[in-house]
Amino acid sequence: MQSPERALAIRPPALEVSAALFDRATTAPGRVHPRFVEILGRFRGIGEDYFSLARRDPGYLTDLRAKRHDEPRHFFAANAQLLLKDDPEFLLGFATCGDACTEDLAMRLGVGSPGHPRFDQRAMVRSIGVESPATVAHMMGFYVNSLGSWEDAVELASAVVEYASALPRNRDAGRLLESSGQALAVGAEDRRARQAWDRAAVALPPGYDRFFLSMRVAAAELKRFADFSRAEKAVRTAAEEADALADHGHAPGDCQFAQALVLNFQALIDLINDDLSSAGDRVEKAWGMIGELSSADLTLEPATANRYRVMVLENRGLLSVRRGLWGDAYRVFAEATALARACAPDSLAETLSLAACVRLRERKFADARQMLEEAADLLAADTRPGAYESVCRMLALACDEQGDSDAAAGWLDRAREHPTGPGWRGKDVRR
Amino acid sequence: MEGSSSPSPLTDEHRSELKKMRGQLAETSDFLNGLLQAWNHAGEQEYRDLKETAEAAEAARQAAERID
Repeated sequence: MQSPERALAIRPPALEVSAALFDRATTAPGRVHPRFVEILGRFRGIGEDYFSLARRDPGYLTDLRAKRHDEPRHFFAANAQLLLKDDPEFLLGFATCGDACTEDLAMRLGVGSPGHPRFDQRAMVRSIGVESPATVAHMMGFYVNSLGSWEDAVELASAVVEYASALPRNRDAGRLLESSGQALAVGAEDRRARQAWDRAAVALPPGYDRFFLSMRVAAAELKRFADFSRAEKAVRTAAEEADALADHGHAPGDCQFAQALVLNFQALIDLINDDLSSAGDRVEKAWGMIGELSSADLTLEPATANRYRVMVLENRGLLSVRRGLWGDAYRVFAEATALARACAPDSLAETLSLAACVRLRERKFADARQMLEEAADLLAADTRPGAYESVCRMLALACDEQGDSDAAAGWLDRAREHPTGPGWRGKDVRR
Repeated sequence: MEGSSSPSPLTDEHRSELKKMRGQLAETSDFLNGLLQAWNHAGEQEYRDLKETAEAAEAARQAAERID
């Protein structure tokens, strides 16, 4: 592929600002959080190997939670402000024709005002979308996952739908359309989201691509549009695609794994319909099917498979919580933690915090504290201030229950600081 | 002074926060929902809202059919 400079004849302002911030951050190490430099540096992969560079970052456009998440926005804005607070005029050029992201940053720094014409995302889709839909998909991912700008992603996705008939019918275009559908769903644009998904289904090759499209459509129909009928239809399609995986070069284990994910989703529908018994049966069956399979049985990438394994385990644990079976819930969350520790490290802080939550409820404060301290350490190196805050508050409670008021006060202070800046790791923690 | 207890590092604000958390922990679903929200998961309230939205949409659809 071409470099972003050549590929993107029309460069979104966010890309210009990111490049400049990246230069400033790398020439002044220590001023910002190290992960900020790493994540911001993804801009270099746009038009090239963005998805490889970002493979371990949270991917909110493919996440079955199908939900807006603002932590990347807070993380980006806090760090960008640190770099620009002495030079806000740098943003003046972007304040009157920026994208939503740069406009927001300019306003935070007092050099912008709302109501100016925005950068035209359609121009970018027109100029590059037909030739290189992957480049546009990279930009959409960068907006959401690195900059936290859902507004820009929705505008870009709307432009993609507008020009959808001009896009090629291939996997890259299918993935761009799929991501566009997810961004539009999160932006509550149901009609255009469905147009994007319909086009994606035609462009994507059969196999896992179409299976996961159907699963994501089902999740978004249920969680964003509360349309049970469409969600059930999409999950039936996913089940058919799961059965057909073997016809498209996948192993028999893949069919079983995908069917388990279908069951896991159907359990969610049961749960919403207050049918705990059926939800429990389905999730147990799903885990049984997944538990029989090793990575050698699957063509699915192990990292992806392990993330889904953890997801199903977490759902088992949450169902035990709903039933008040605390001992069971702890055993399952501990199992999820062991799995995450062994082969899904990106999920470890989450599983630790869930297990610790149950331990707090059981008044096993020493256990809870140990797990939460590990989670806090992991999150201090991460980009999720909300999760970090939640873990700090739980830690404060565990410490206070143990009579350690010093540590409790320290963790509460940290929880309130929303540590997104360079002092994040350097703060004195009174454990 | 020897023998006197050192002042607690907890401020009134800290104590108030801890008290609130203890209350949430007693109502475990509140506590867990807060955590799930931090991880961007849907909690029970979100599920209830989804069901209500779906039921309202279905009622509106049936009403529209009757008018047709």
